[in-house]
Amino acid sequence: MAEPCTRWDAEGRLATERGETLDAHFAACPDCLAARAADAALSARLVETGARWQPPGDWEARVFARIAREAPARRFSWWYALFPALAAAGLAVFFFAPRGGGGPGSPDPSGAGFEVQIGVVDGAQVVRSENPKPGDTLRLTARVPTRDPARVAIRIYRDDRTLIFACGGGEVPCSLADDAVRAEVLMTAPGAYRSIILTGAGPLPAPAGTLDADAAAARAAGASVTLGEAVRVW
Amino acid sequence: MTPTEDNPTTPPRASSDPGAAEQAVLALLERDDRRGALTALMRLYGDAIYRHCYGTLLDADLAADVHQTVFVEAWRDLPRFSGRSSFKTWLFAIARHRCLDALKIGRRRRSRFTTDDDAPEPADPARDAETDLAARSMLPPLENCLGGLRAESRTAVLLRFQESMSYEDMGKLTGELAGSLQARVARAMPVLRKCLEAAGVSL
Ligand SMILES: [Zn+2]
Repeated sequence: MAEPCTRWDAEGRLATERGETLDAHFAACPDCLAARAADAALSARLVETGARWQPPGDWEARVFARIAREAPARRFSWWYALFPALAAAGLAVFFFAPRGGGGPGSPDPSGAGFEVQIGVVDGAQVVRSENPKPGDTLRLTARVPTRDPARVAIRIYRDDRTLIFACGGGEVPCSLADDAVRAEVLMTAPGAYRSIILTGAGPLPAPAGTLDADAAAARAAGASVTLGEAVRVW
Repeated sequence: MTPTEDNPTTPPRASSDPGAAEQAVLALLERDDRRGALTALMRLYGDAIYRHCYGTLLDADLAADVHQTVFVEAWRDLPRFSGRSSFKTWLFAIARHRCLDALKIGRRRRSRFTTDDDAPEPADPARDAETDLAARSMLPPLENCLGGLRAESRTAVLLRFQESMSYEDMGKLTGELAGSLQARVARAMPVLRKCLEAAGVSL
């Protein structure tokens, strides 16, 4: 028995997705016609299945309840998104005071020894806490439980795929200021800017380029990896 | 006359004229009616955003939580909505980021930082974001097979077929070229089809 024709999978579907005209083969080849029909059935099945994916009936009320609960934190809202991930990792977070605010925010009362602050800065000043735009500078400062610059690294990625900042881990040491490591990076393009902080008992691997690969390599080297939630630049 | 003035308790659904519905939301914002604007957005896009969250996460509890987070964030950011994109694209962008965050955090909690070597789609360069295999085995076959795709492929397929989103609009969400997304969808479809056939589902 002859092998079934695979032209639909190899090229027909992509041509169709591109809106191109298909050649006569696709109207005559039984294998391609069958594969095309199976695609159409699958697409219908996806729509049918998706219609069953419904949010809980009271979700709108829950949203407004959360808004009411979270209202007092709104002035910190830009980096508020960072908090759940760090809190989940058992870390303390403290905040830059917004412009005009009453001095620096306080460390988390839990007193954990690892604090991260992220803000949008202009020179030494934190100028904006919300709604970062391309051209703004992201500053990350982390107090880490080591003073050995070889054992701490910061990496910042855009959309998890593009490494835009790296220090530590055998590369350029991270800058140390006031017992904290610091990273500053110009956010030139829209995207989600996410940082990881690596701390290890031994040498840290050099960055490979994507967040997942670097986090996996650091874990494999026995380092601890702290993942920040994305900061979105529009 | 805007649809919301017509009937304030039932803002327009996505199936009515989406342009007019978005204009109505803008008008509410211009009147400083942020609550009305958010309510209208929830009615317009709540179901679609939930589908996106569920389809990405394949976990109802997590999807419900992230879905609410998306609208809490939308509430927060609405006063600064720039109008550079549609509300729909804006909400999907928030949802996409939050869902991918949830996938990462969930994966981190399970200590299953899987590598590309484990992924079933060798042709797909997107990062692996496979959901937990044990949890997936409890899902219906189509969802189980969707779970076998990488998150980037799964969401591209679902946005394409469930939301009828154009590749250009998808590209605005992901920052990728329409052609890459087309190719990703074209690669994922036979993987999905073969997975369903292997599970005994006839199409
Ligand atoms: Zn053929």
